[in-house]
Amino acid sequence: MIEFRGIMKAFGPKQVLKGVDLSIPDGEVFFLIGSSGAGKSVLIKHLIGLLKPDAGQIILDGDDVSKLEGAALYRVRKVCAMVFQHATLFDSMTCAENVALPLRKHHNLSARDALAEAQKRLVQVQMGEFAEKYPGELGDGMRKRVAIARALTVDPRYVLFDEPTTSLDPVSARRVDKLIRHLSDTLGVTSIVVSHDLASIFSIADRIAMLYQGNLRMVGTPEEFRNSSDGVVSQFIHGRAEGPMEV
Amino acid sequence: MAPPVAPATPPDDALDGDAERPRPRGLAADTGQLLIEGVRAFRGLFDVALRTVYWSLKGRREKGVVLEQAFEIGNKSVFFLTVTQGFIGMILVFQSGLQARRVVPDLTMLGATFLELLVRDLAATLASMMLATRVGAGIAAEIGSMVVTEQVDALRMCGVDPVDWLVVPRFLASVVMTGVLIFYAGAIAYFAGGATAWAVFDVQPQTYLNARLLDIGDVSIGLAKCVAYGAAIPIVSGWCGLSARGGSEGVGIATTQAVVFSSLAVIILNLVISGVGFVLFPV
Amino acid sequence: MAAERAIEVKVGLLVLVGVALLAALVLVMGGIQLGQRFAMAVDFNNPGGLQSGAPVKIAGVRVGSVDRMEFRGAAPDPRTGRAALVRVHVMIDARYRPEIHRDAAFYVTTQGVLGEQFLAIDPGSAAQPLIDTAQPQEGIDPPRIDLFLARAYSLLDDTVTALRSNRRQIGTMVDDLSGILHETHGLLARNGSRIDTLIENVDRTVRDADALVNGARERYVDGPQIRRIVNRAESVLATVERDLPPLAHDARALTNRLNHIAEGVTDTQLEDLRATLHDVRTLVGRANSIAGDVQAVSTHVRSGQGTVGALLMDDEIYDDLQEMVRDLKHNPWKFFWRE
Repeated sequence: MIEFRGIMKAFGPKQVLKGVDLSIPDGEVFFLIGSSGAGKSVLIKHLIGLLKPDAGQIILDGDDVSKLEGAALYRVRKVCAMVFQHATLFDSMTCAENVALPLRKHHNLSARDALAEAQKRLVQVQMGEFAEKYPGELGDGMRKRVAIARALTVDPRYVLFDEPTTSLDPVSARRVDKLIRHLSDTLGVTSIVVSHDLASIFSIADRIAMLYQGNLRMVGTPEEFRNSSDGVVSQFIHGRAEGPMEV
Repeated sequence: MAPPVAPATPPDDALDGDAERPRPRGLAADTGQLLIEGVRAFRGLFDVALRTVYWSLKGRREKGVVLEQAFEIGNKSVFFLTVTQGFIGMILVFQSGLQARRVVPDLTMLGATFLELLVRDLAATLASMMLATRVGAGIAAEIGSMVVTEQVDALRMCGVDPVDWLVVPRFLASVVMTGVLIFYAGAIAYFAGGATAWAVFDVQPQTYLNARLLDIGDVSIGLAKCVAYGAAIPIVSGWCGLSARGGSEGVGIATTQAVVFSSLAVIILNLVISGVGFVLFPV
Repeated sequence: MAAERAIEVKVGLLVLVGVALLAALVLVMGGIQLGQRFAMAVDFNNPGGLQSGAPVKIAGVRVGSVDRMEFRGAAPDPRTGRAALVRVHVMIDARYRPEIHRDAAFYVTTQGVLGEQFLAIDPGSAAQPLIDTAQPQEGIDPPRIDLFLARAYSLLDDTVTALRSNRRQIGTMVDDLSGILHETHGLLARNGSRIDTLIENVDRTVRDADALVNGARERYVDGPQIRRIVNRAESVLATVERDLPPLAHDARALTNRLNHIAEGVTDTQLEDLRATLHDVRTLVGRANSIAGDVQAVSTHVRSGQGTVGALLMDDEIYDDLQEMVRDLKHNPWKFFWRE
């Protein structure tokens, strides 16, 4: 169970989050949407302690993540993994080594055992045959899948996806969506997806929350969003250029 | 955020806030802001330094990483240092010889004084300032670009302390290779100076090659400086890299800052060590 | 991988080069000691800028180095009886040991004008025996240029101050001098011809005097008579010189002996002497009278007076006696009976 209470965050003079309250129950595929720069990535980074809020609390399984330091924060990262926007694999390591890294650090496995386990994980995301390749040799979609495999190595209960389909071609994007859905259905993972890919939203989302100008505009099911009478929501959901939204 | 006492897992390095500067609000407010930022920055640097030392002693090293960095820092700087230090040696001897001749036309002690000067101070300081530009920029650029592409966040997610993964190998390599390079650079400068002295002032090699003024104090101070500078450059540059924000522009800023602060660190350390040296080992 | 190997090798090579350079430096610093060395100590009150490691040279050739400097304080060393503030311990190559003699000098000097200071040894004369290396030697302190400069400076300062404070007097003095010179010049100018005459006269006088002196010399100094007189006087003097000392010596000895005798003579002895002298006088008087009698008798005898005289002086008797004796000789039986 994840809960955001009154999160405020500013970067310099720019107040990005102006008091966000949100709860996400377990097992869902939860989409966090909004226009670029609305603060979506910022919000989810708070969950694994990459950022600290100026005010507010983040409750993850009963602990306030914002107050955690040191070793405790690393425990949170075992429970809550993140797939970054640009896949962010380490270019100097092979895919297998990339995937093996969390295993070595979080689970203290030896190099050899970690690699074996990594191989298995890669197979799970259908990237088994690319284990010895370097990230630079792969396409964006494939890299994304490897990154997902890496995030999953620690068997997290929560996985955060930062714009997973943004730079992908439609086919790869759909594949990633399918994977996310698969995770939720089979492994019971709670997926929090930051996205503005409407196709993804309407194909796999259980619930959606929209951030607009630092506040939550609306939380609901995709249907509720589609039928919303709120002008801003409507403009975003239907992808219209003109409307009440301020960019 | 001090290093932990008992647990096996490392301490965290959560970031808070980026480097966007506020609008000016008047002199007092600006000064206060500057001071606060300065203190915060210094605490960040101190934190990086502490964790570098901690992880150097505690962490496990990836195979070959330190060696790779040693090659980057050491071997790749040899040509650059040979040229710069060679010229510096020639210029120093030439200029100081001209000046010395005004006082008294006796250059018998030129070689001896130049050697003592090199060993005690100049070899380490000048070579390190050259290295600060090359090595410091390189480290900051590498780490900075990893920061802005979220690779450092990914490292944190994987349970890795970025200081352990990125800074420590460079730190270990630098401490050793900076020393080695300084010995080499000092020799180059000395012999280049000797050639100049011979060609311009007719100082014979037997007269020039004179280690009479050297004592154990000079060598100790020189070695202390080698180690100090070798440690300071990667820590300062690493910290600058880790503090990079906001894309390629941020990386550029971090790189420039790394060069400036590394050079500054070298000079401040020079002052401190020389001061202590004058008390403990007078000239 | 091969690349990794290559990197290892290159890095290792660079590290080795660096360490080798460092080692070379330390070695050169320590000084490469080859061969045997012996130790000596030299005492100074102020060895100036001499430092440990400074060279020790004989006639400009390096023979060793200063090992350490020992501050001894003002207490005198019981071994040498000297009190020297600093004892400099040096190590010298063994082969130079026979070069340093007992009268060697040890001093601190500078190489060039502002060069480093070193210990120079003047080895001493070959006639002297070798130096005792166990005994601390006395060194000659180097000149203190700084002291000299300080004194020279203060002297200069005083001179300048004196000059400055007496500026007015000096000015007046200069003015006076100038006036005097001026006057003199005027005087000379006015009396030019008179001075010429004066000079001429002086010249003539000098010439005459010269002639006079020459004449006198000819007559009185170079004359043969004079020379003879002088020579004779010289020879007399030489004789006196030669004979006088032994004479004087003898006279002295005689005087000493007489003194000795005189000292030895006591009053009683003196009385005895006087008595003896008196007796001698009486004896002499008697001897004189006896001699007178003898003379009278002999006169008698010579004139043939008396029996003895007749015997002695008469020829006939002499002949008869002679005959008698001859006869007795031929006829010794005539002693016993008559014919």
